[in-house]
Amino acid sequence: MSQSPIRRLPPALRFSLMFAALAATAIAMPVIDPIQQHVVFPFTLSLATVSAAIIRWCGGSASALYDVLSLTSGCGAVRIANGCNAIEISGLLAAAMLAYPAPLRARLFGVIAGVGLLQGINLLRIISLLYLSCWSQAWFAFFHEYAWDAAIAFDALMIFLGWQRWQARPRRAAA
Amino acid sequence: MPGVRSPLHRFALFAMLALVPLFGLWWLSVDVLTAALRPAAAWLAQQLLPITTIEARPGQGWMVRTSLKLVATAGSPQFGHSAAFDMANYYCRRLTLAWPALLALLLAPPRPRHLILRIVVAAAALSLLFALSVSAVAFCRVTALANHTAVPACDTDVPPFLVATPAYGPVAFFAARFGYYGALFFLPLVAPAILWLALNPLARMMFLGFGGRRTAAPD
Repeated sequence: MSQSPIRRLPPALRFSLMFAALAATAIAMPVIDPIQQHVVFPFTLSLATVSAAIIRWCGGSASALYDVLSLTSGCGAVRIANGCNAIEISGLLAAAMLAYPAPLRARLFGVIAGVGLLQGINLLRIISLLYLSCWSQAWFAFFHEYAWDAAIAFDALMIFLGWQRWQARPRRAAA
Repeated sequence: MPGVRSPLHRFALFAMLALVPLFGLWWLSVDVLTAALRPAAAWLAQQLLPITTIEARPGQGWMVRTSLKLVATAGSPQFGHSAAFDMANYYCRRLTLAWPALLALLLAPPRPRHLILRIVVAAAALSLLFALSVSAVAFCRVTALANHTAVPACDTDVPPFLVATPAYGPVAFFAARFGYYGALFFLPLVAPAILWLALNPLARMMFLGFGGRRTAAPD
């Protein structure tokens, strides 16, 4: 029986090539106008609504209008734009998990749970930035443009490594 | 029983603790770093794009001068001049976001042998990545100039002047947006992890089960 050329590659190289292909797809998707218009944009709008609901649920007072999330006191407001929706890092995490040589069920579970966790962290980021915008514009800019992005990328790497450890555990136990 | 002293926990804790001061250090020195990388970025942009120079504007980022001639009537102030555009500090700084993250990952255990050498290789790779990313960002602006159109995906409005150059086609236009988006929003986030795994075979084997030419058995 002949194997496909991609299956004959060393696992590390196969993972790298598949990750590169999937990551390139993840980068291209939001750039395509219909996807941007019908998927990315509505999803970004929903982040404002969900963030406002979380703040209200925690006893705060916030409202969402279109893509603008604001504190009802008028103290601070943020516009949730592209780049604030963690779609990029979610796409990279999904690409890494789907490319990794693990059982399909583990990969799908990893993508759903990992992306969900990352989006949860992103909601925390949006809410923290809203309150930061009320306190200091300089710190808001620093955390918005640099610090939170580095932190979310670090979280995504840890989620991936944690998932890899989790999915390898049953096979270790069976060995 | 895997406890808090597992290699993954140790790595995560160390990398996280190292990231905080390294990020602070990066913020204090980022403008020096981008200034040092500007000549290489300018040279590469000159090779790839109709760009003549990239000049520093203290406190305001970079001024990118193109070879695209402005369309202007003889005697007007714009006559004979070439188009130029700003590249704000935000872009230059963001394109170096991978530096502190990669250093934190490389310094965390398990550390590879010849750590200093690997850090030097990492710095060279990140410098190349920075130069390519600057070209990708600049390409989107050049496309907006040549096509005389707004490119919201590149945060670019309709240029206030026309340039005497053929417009780019739809493929180049898509490539410009793809490159901009990838350079600014993907590469600074994914480059540290990729370079760390490429430069640290021990981590690759320990955390991913990939070792050398064969897959290592997990544990």
